[in-house]
Amino acid sequence: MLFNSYVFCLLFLPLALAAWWWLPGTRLRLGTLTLASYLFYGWWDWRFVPLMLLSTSADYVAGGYLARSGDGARRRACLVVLLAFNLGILGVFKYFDFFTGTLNGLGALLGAPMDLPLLHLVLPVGISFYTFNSISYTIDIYRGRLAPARGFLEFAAFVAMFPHLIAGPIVRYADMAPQLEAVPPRPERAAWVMGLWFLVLGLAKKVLLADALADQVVTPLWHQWASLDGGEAWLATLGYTLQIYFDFSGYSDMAVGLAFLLGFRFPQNFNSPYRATNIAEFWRRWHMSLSFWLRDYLYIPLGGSERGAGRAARNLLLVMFLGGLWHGAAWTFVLWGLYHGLLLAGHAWCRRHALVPRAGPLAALLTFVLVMLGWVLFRSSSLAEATHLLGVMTGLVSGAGGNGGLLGALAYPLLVVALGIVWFSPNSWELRFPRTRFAAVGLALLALACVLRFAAPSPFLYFQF
Amino acid sequence: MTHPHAPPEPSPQDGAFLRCFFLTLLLLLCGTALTTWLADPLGVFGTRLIPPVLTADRDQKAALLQLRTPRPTQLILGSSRTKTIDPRCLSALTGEPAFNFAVNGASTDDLLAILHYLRALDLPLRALVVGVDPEMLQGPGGPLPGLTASRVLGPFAGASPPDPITSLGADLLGWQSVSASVRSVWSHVAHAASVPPTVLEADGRQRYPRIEAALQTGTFSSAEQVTSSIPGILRRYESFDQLDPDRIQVLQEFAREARQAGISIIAFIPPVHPAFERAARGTAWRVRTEETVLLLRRLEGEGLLRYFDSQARPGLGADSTAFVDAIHFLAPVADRLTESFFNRPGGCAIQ
Repeated sequence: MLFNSYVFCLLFLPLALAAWWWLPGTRLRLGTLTLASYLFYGWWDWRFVPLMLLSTSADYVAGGYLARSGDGARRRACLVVLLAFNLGILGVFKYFDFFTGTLNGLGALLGAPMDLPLLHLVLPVGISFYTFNSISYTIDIYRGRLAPARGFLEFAAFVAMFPHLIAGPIVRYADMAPQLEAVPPRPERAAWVMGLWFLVLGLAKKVLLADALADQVVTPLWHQWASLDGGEAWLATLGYTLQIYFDFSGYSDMAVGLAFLLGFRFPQNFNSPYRATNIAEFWRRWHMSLSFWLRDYLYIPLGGSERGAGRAARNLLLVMFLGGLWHGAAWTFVLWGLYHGLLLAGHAWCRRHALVPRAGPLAALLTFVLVMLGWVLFRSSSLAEATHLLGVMTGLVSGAGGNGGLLGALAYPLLVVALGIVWFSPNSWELRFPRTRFAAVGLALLALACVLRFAAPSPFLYFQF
Repeated sequence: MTHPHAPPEPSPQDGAFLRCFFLTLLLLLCGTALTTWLADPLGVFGTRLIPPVLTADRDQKAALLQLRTPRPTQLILGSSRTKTIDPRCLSALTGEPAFNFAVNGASTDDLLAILHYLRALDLPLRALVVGVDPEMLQGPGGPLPGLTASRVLGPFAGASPPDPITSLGADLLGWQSVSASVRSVWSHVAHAASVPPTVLEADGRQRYPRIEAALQTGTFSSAEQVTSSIPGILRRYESFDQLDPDRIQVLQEFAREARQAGISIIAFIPPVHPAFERAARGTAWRVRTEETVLLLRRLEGEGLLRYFDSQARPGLGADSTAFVDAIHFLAPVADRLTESFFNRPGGCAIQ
């Protein structure tokens, strides 16, 4: 079920909120929230509901064992088994065909065809997100930093909670446990005001900006990637740079807004990333819940920057390689991750040698351009497409051009407005939402404008991950 | 490190804000849905209290087609350049009931989707008269937004059919339905006493009553409209450097399926104003048009259709006042064109 759909906004959400706030007793409410979230998930494809239930049950049981057991070796073994189980599910559904296909390709290249069979499995939506949520739970218990969930319902509600289930933010049980154990009995008006603002602004980012950028700029140009000239390729990339920001940050805002409506608080996931003045700052502002997850559960355990510059660079490359792979099972994503790993390692080296340019508009522009180049890898469906486009953009390859006529009539105004917002406007978390009647009418009108665009709902870009 | 948002401070205005928001939203949603239901521009609910203004012609024509009795056996397909061809003229020449299903911004994907739709309706189809202009073969391939957004034709173009809730939501609150309703209501209220600019007749034919009236009184300057429209049309062709292979393939598929179903096709390139012909010499428009002619001749050679060479009949556009602009002709040209398909000058004789 998509947030930007009639069935969600006009049916599911009102019923889910009504049940959540009217039902008596925390356990009944959590049970209903979990059931509603499973319905939300199963609306897309009910066959994957048991998979999520299985993963949740395994993590819950293992978490309990890890908390109870005092035997270090057994605890370690339990953690390894559980990680293998979670990553195994992810591996089968998301990466099996990728690695098998790569092996087949390598075999063919070396003159030893293998023809290993591909599974062609459908990727369960949101699997990367709920797997990471669950992994952090068990690791935190293993490290002794977290008490296990008080009951299965609390944990199942945490994993399946529909606002963050499909595309984050990646929420940690440590943040949610106190909220789940002390569910507010009545809705707070101030939280609802906040929630509605976040929800409607997120919807507007998605359906009025991201989808429009896709229709007017990105899709028509990118479809003709082989014939784009340099200017057109930069324009397509700029369009996608803005589209993915408004799409994903719009989703995150909606998730935060929905959490407010349910009486929960979710972490911030975007903090004006395109205003970052260096690449490290970009990653502290973009998909923050993933960045912090990778830092806490990969980078620091690998040694972080504690053991010398070379080791730190290796760790950054490894973490970003895995971060790229997390986004998608394709070499374009792997290269995108490595590209950012190199940029981060380069930035760390420059910082160590006091070569980082002073923060300012030029540094922000340079960072923005570097991030844009990375999005070419991210958006391209093949390495050939990515290398061609990067070649055209850097002037190494010439493109035929003449695709300007494919742009929508609103393409340039949209780009200007979108750039203005990402560079100069406060983000959703910086805005001081007005609470006047006039503002309420304005917000309702904005909500209606969004609802009018639900007829052909487009999935969020991050659903594929 | 996570960033939990600080709990918002309660404000005495919160209650009023929430009441105002929900009441306004409820009124807006109900008002919009009620307007769409009453105006029913897409012919979904059967209410249609006011005549619809043309916006979503694919759905409007589908609704009109389903009301036609006797059921048409001949259909006119194509883009906006074919919308004025009169089904009555076709019927007069062939003795068979006809309907005009030409739609704005059509691509060859529209032709195939409409054919699939017609066959799903189980219409006793015998012939299709298809205006193929080069823009119908312009890339990128794949169904264009107008087609995928069509509630009726979208599912025949690969768009997954919506669930009943989404379908009802789109019919009551979707942009296409709402914009058509609002424009219809506005037109009805603001121009009740004046002649409407366009009208969709029950047989699918599009008329331009305001221009027709102005022509009769001599106040419509066709030459001016034609001249001013030429640069814009030619500009659309500047980035159109080849006929799209995907679109060509879809056209072939359309013709093959029609032949297999025993439906004959007459294909033609809609005539343009003589001034446009002159202005377009040596431009991409001319090249793409010639490529389209070659394509249609090739399909004719394969026995998939009959190509009618309107280019070889310069007399078709002789009445240079019978044009809305450089490429959209009015009834006199449409009738002469239809008569020449059957080589029966004056055969329409219906007006």
